Amino acid sequence: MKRSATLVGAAVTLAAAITLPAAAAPTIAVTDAWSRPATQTGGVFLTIANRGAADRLVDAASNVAAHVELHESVIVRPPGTSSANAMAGAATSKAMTMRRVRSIAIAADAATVLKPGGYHVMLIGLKQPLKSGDRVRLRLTSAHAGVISTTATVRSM
Amino acid sequence: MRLSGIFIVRAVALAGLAACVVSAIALWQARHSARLVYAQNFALVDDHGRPFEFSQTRGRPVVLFFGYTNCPDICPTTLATLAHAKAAFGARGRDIVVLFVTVDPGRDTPAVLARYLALFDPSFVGLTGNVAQLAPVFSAYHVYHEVVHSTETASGYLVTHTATIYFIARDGHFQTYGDWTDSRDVLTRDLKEILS
Repeated sequence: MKRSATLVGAAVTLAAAITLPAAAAPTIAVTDAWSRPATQTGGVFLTIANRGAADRLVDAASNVAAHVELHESVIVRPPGTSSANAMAGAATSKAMTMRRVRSIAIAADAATVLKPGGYHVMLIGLKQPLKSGDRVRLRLTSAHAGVISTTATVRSM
Repeated sequence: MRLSGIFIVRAVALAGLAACVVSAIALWQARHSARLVYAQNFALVDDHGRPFEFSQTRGRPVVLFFGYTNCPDICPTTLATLAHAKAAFGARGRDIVVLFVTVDPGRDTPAVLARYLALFDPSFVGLTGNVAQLAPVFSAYHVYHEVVHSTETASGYLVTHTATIYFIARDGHFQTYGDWTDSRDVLTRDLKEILS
């Protein structure tokens, strides 16, 4: 009995050793995930701290929405705008657009910050509104580090 | 010797006073010689489904912003920062009217707008209308907006839009402008300007 337990223990140790390179080297950590109040569509922002080689965020999933995608906000100059805008000058010549991206680059040995006006995880078709204080569980997938779970806090500021 | 000392003090004080008067005049001229541009009136529908005219806000400071409720980034960032900046003024801040005009009338009905804005500040007023009602408003406020259909995303469509925040004084003139990149401190300063 004791012998078989030792054997199982050895097998477990061996299995752990085989998977060790991936399991024992968590070079990527996701911190400070947060979101804004939303009714149908939400955005999650977060920080990816990478202590290893360059990687890519390739997917995100969550139970709170029908679809989860990676998006990027981009400043665009609307066609036909001139600086001769009497009312607001340059202020009105900037507009924001958004597009889906297939992946987000995670720089080597650096913190990649997803923040307003740039990349975000988009929650499309929220099952219920996100209110200040709510928590959203996310599963992120990177090309090399694999699945990383995190929880975003909804904050109005 | 003592007399001349007093004289110098008086002269310096007088010169200082004169400088103050001159700079005050210059400041007044700078503020008033610039042609004031007034916000144009418009008629839309508020988030309770009631008719709303911009002229109703006359006498109160107004913050005007264009966006849509399916916007996950710029719009909630702007609304959240505005809500906090406004709240910091306490009772005095309740005088500020925050107007959120949709660039997505197809999805943003009055009820949808009300439910969304209540998450930030229930006093924020959502405005919508039909295309004929909204078009002159977009034109008057130089708001660029474009529906972007994409099969790439499950969101159906996204709306590219001008992200300017307009700060309008009590008498209806444009006081200053901002956008979603402004910190709460910057927005607080802008609100202070239109509250005065």
